[in-house]
Amino acid sequence: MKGKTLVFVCRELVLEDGIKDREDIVLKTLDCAGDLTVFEVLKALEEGFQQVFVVGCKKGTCKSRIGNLRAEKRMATVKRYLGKWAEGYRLEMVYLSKEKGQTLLDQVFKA
Amino acid sequence: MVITELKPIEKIWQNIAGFRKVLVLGCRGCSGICSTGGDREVKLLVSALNLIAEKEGKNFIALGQTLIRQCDPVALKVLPEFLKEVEAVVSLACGVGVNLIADLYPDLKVYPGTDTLFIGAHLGFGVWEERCRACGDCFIDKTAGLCPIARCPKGLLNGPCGGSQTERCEVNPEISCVWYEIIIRLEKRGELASLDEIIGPKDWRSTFGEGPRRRQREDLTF
Ligand code: SF4
Ligand code: SF4
Repeated sequence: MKGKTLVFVCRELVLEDGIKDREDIVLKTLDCAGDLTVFEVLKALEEGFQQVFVVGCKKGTCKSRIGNLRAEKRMATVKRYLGKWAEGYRLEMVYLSKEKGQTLLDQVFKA
Repeated sequence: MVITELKPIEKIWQNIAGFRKVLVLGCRGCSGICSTGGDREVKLLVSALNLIAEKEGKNFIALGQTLIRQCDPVALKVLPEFLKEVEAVVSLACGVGVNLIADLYPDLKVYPGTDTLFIGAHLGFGVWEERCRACGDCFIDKTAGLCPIARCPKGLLNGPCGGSQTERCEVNPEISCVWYEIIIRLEKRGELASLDEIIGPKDWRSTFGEGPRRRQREDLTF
């Protein structure tokens, strides 16, 4: 395993230079954030990831219309499903603009 | 179909935390169809239980299997094949499945993984609603096919109640008054006069019976 953070990202989004080289982040590209399944997130936690993010396009700009909203719901489902065992994990949806200027790293690690 | 809901995972875990090997058993019947206990949900629960076990530092493994049904001894015949070293089973079927496994395999520890909610219809993605309470003496030929036992909070056989001032139910404004709906439909069908006949007190023995209700078809039994 490369690192402790897994980022699922919609292929419509252009990622900043250098992010792919980071040792602490594993990136998985999805055709749309809405393709993410609850099972994939659980599997990631089973594999030892402590942080899982799904990065989708800003609301209203998803090519599948509501794929990004679905992704957000699925992350919430994982948290609800695991109950108290979800504590300690960071499981988040991040909405990014397709325009340049926003960096994923800033969004993901802003906290 | 029988509508079920997954129990909170804390409750499922409480029952099985002491075992080392547990089978999560799905059902492709009603429970699978209403996305509670089909193949996908079995995979999810297995994964979640294994994750919880790891977090709790337990020597534990969950496995998964899904049967076509759990409410039929024929479908349950294969169960022993999946029980090698398994100490307990979590069933994701409705309560009927859990009961039948307990009947057929008295030495097996079986636990419900779901709550059985009602007999209902699928109204749209992720929405199910009760439509019948299995009273055993159906009278919805008199009510335009709509069941006031299942759909009127007061279960009125001769409605509507005095609180039905609008199309909404006075008890639960989220739903329309089923007696309003019944009258509109009967009127459209030209059958409004059928309401002149009072529906008499219901004989609830067909519902509550004496112990489990049973149906036996002579033409099918030998
Ligand atoms: S009258 Fe009885 S059998 Fe008929 S729909 Fe209502 S509860 Fe079900
Ligand atoms: S308003 Fe209609 S549905 Fe509600 S309790 Fe009265 S008769 Fe039943």
